[in-house]
Amino acid sequence: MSDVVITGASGSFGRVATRWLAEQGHTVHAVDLHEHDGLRAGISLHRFDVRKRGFEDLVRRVHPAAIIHLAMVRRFGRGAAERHRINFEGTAKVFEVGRRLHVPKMIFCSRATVYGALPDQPQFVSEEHPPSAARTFPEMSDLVAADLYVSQMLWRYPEVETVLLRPVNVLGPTVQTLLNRYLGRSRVFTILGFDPMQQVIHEDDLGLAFEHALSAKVRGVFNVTGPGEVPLSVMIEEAGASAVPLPEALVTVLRGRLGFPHIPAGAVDYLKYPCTADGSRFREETGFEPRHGLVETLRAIPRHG
Amino acid sequence: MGTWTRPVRRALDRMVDAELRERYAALGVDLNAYGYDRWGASRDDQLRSLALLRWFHRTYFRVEAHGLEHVPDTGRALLIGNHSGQLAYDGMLVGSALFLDKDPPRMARAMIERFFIQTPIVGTMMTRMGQLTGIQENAERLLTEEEAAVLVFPEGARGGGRVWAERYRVLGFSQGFLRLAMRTGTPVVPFAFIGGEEMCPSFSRGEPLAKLLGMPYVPLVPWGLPLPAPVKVHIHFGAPMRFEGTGDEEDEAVLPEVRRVEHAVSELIELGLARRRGVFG
Repeated sequence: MSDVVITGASGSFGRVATRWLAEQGHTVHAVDLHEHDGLRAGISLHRFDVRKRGFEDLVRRVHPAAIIHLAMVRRFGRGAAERHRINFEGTAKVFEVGRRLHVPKMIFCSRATVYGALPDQPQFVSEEHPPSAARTFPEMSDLVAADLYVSQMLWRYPEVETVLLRPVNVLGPTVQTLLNRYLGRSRVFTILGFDPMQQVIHEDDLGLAFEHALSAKVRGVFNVTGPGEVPLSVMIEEAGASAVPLPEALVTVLRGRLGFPHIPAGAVDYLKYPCTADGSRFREETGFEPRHGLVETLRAIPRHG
Repeated sequence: MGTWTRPVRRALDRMVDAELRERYAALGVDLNAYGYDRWGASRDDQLRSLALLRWFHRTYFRVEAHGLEHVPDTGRALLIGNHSGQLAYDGMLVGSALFLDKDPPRMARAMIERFFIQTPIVGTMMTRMGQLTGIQENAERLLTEEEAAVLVFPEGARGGGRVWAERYRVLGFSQGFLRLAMRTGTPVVPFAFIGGEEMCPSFSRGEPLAKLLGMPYVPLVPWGLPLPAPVKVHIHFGAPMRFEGTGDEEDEAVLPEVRRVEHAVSELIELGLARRRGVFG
């Protein structure tokens, strides 16, 4: 087994990756600015910013077989400039360090949401499709930029095994995404007259996907899909919440008021149109197969109801 | 959908009988644990809508489908025909003909104008019934991965919103379907839909108003709402047509083939009009 550096190890995807890969016997070097109490015994957390000197020193010292870069800010409450610095410039820095210090494999976890939830999109988006989320959701532009930055590393540095993963909605007991927080409420609003198909993957299967990305001799851009797709309404029902359909115009007005979550206007599209991807390439090239079925995955969120 | 539709769903559930269930099972739809296929079609909603559609098919429109043997029993197929009737009644009845009158039954997957998919409630209903946004990639995936029968009206909204003066005239097919047929080696089954022009005639597309409302057209129907009159419907399917090529040929190579399909549909329309005894007969 090999040495792996994981950035953003205290974040929700970081914890999944750290736990999973350590269980597989990899020597994990966790990097994050923030402390996190759930780390397994024997894993050292290096508390520094990936854009600072300490990160480079660590990579130089441990000669990792791979860096898994997950240090991204996803909360929209943080300012655009800070998000840009961390998400875009931080990603560029990590990849620059990896290339200069000859790290053979660089894995970056983007999201299928970069494709956008747009009515004129194919229902199962392939990896060649342009990540168009910023068309209606400008707050996503730093995430789209980081995604595109990593994909151009593929042709710039053919000697590096660059892997760009675009997983669909990750559900599980520990992950904290916008969707998990949304489904964690007892009553959730939906957009009246819309019920888009959603794809889900269990957090353990995300860990498994990291393992496959790490061990298979592959490079490229890969959508990572789970056991299938269901309408949003089924997802809400299985989370134990009840849906309150509201006209779109009302939701736009209520955002951030009267106890409604403050979500960017563009996020509403994801409650109207599907943002579903074709994950066959990753399965074919790495042999990945999710272990958690559809029902099991949908019920993996802690119920509040 | 919501709880407010529950009484309607219950009433429709009572109309679902063994005939519908057996025919639906014969389709072999790949459903998940919740009864949905990957595109968003729902078994329960499809059965409910087919229960309703069966009444329209047999009692209201008295649909007669001719030449159903030309629609292959299995394997990919593109069903190409004339569009009329303002609100895709033709698409629904071609679907019910394939489901109710063909043995073994087939599900027709219609490519829908994006405007309808974007419309609240309507878009969700169409998705649940197995219809999809009319995008090349969707059709190609259905044909190559699921060997589906895909229904396309290549006149698009021009045909759907056609006016009385244009009745039973092929208004010019767009070429996307033919390039798709070439690329995927899919046989094209031409068909004529007879009765659509009289069931919901329109005298204007209401263009200024449509533009203002962002709609493809606003039909001017003699009885106000674009609801269909109980005319007799005939659907004539023709022999499958095959096309060689990659789909990336120049227009000069593709357009004559598109004209051939238009011609085949026109001939079927003429045949259908000549054979029918009257609009209601």
